[in-house]
Amino acid sequence: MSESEQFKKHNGTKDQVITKPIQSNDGTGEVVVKKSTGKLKVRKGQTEEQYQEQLAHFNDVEKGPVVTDINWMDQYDNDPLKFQSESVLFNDLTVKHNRLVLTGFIHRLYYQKNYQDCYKFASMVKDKYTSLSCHKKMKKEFEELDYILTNCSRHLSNDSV
Amino acid sequence: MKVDPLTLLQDNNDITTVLGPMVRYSKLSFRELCKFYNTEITYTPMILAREYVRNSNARISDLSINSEDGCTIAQVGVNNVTDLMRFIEMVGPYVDGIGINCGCPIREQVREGIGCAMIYNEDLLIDMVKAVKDKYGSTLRLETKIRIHENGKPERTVKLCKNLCKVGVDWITIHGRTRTTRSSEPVDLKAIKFIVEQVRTEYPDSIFVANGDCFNDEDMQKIAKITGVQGVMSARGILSNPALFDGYKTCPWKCVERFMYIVTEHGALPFALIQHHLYCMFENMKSNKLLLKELMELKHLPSLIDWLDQNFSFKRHGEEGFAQAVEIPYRAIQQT
Repeated sequence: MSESEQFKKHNGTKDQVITKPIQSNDGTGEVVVKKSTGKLKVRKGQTEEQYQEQLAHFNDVEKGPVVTDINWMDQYDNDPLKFQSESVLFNDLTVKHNRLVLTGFIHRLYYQKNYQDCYKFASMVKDKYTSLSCHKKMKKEFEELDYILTNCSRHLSNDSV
Repeated sequence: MKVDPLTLLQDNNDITTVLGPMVRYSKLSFRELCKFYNTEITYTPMILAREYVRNSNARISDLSINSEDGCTIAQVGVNNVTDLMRFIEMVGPYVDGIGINCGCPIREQVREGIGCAMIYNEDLLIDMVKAVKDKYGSTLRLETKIRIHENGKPERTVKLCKNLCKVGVDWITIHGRTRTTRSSEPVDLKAIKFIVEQVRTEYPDSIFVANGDCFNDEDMQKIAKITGVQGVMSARGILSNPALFDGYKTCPWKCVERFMYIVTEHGALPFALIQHHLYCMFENMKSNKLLLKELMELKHLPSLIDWLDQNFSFKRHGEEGFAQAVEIPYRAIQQT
């Protein structure tokens, strides 16, 4: 049995074939893999210089992986805009994940039933999002903020009765 | 290394409890929940080394940790030595071990030579383990999570495991299914037993964890007894019941309350993931089916919080009785 045959399932279905990536010897991590169509695809390597740049960014700017302890939002007084202005990593709000981190402050206030601050910050974040170039692609996020604003108002008016 | 996983696995008094790596689902919040309920070792979802070492945005969304995240193994999907060594240089100092994914059967990953393609590419896998152990020795714990090549007496898997032990792998996790076995088919515990026994004839101190079909405490005991492994890993079972290793046969309500507290504290977990976690827990608790349907129709986290308040006596952190209830505290009798 040849090597290519032994990596096939008995029924010979194409999708069941196991591929062995072909590695280049340049130490960059460049490999050639086989796509579902059977064509070969080169996964480009990363030169030592490129890697050192990433490593420096990881160590000096990112300071390692993201650390989110319980209560980590307290250091920003639960204020998402204070966090956004102070954060180097999360200040580009055109990145969806960064907006998710920012909205997390509002979620936390909603969970804590702090509807007053939640309303205040949700309004501010909504204004911030409206000014983004990608705001037309953020329909779900605006719907969520509107839901929060409406329900915070309802809770606050019920509390004041 | 904050906690040495080998110390846990070498403790002969207890079976070590392990939360398996799950695509999307074994992120920090779920790991912290499981650790609260007696899970000793947890895995991150598979992180693609190629992306991690090249892209800052991938790093930020792929891995988060905290001071409660004790004994965490970062699982890596990788198909060459260079990316692996670079990944370890970055991530190694922040976790308690690195696990090479040699078990993922997802077609897209296998085509890239990642996941269970690795068990058919033995030379490369051995090169990877050797390169890591030559550089780091015992200062870095390295695991490989494999599948069996065939049912029954998988000689090829035995040979692979012996070679891994020879180059110094710290422990091996064996999923007792082949690359093409469906999860609906039972895990082959006899194959795991065969491998463990055969490898220990040459490497008597070798450490193994068994993976597959651990849905409750009885399963855990049975798997450990049959296979002779030091640890038992659960994935689907613990996803539905995060208190599985705390002796609960079904998910206690307190898991829901604690999970909601943790996710709102950590932030940044996409709503679809939170929703899926809760769906699995509620389904395991045999919750009212209409409520399950409602749960899946919710669009965002605030609506989920309101839904929990409307239908259950949902306690928040700091309130009396928080995370203590076992049964579902329905607000009204809604069983159908």
